[in-house]
Amino acid sequence: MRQPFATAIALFVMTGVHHAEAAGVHVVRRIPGYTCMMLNETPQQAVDPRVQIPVRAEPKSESPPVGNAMPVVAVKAPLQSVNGFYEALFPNGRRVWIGANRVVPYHSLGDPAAKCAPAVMSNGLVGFDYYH
Amino acid sequence: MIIRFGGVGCAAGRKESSEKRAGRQALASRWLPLIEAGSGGLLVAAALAGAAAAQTPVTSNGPPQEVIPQVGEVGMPNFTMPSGTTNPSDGSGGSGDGSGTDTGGGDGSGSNASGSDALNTMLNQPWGIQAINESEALGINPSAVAATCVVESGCQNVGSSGASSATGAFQMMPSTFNAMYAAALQDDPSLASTTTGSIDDPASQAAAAAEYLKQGAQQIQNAGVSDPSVIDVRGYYNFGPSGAALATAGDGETMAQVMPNVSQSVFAQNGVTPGETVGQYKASVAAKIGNAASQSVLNS
Repeated sequence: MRQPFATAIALFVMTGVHHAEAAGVHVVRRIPGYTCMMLNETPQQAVDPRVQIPVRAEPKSESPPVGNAMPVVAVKAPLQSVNGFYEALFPNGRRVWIGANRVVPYHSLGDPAAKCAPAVMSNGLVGFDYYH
Repeated sequence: MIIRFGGVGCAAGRKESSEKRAGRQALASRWLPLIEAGSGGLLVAAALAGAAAAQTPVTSNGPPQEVIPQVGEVGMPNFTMPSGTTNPSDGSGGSGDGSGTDTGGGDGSGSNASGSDALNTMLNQPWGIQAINESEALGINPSAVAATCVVESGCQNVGSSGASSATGAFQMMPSTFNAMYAAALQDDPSLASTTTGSIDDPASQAAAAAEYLKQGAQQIQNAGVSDPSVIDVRGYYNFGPSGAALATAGDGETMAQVMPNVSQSVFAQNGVTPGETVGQYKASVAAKIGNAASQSVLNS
């Protein structure tokens, strides 16, 4: 009787661990060589859908946009401007370019002590590891 | 619920058993006197053989009655009304007591707003069907629009609340409404003849909200989330472009960390605390939206 009971307990624990790992998106590992920047916007601009900051395929203003920047951007470190653009990683892992004057070092209005590091997330996207 | 489900099945089972029981009783009425009268096994066997040859088969009249469950089982998916159909249970001509055959309360979540519930809630409004048509014309899942008005106002054309200037069934800010309605008109010029373009017109707000959801879904899609869900785009609806970050953020991060430029007052206007985690925010929204939370925003 004891062995089946122990097996059942082990299965229960293993199942619980599996669910705990599967629940929600989480950080897998940090990405070296990149730093956190955030969009250079006022709080009003940050929530205004009319304000979109494009990211481009090449460091040229005439290069077509490949998307709009997210609020926090993984920028290649150390910072090096090319034609006024910084190289960055888009959430889908694509290398893009964003206007150097469009981003500032990461700092949170609601959590001034927060720090940030670009990271690979459990869903495979490029995200961020926030810490204090 | 299980008891009620079982009750339905048992009722049919009783009918079937009574037919068999009638047959058994007919046979017993023939056999029993012989068996009781007989004193030996041979006599009983002979009696049984005679009775078997004389008995008439008992057949049911037609196929066995099919048991149709009346109550959904726990854990079964809720029915989602196909888009573009009319609502068969809007209660407009019924008693309006709301008892019906609603499955609410059986999912254990405490939510009354599953995907079909959200659609029903919106369809109970005079502008509901128009909102569905507008959503589909703009390429948006009507459930996503319905879930939005359910969360914002219960789909009631209410005024502003608190210090915010957001108003109406979709609680849109005037600047956002104007921008999104104009964009919706570009996407679907026929809106000009079916809506007033006023922020006080719920049908106009529905079109603007659908356009807003579309832009949010496309931005999140461009960022690498291939098929943004209602819960993914909800952050964009609440917080504008900053809220797009919630779709790709870890569940353990706080709202203030993920949206660093959002002010305390904006968090407060949306009923969110800066220290709330992304996971808590999503769970809270999902509880209000129900199973529409996982549905796609963009129609394929």
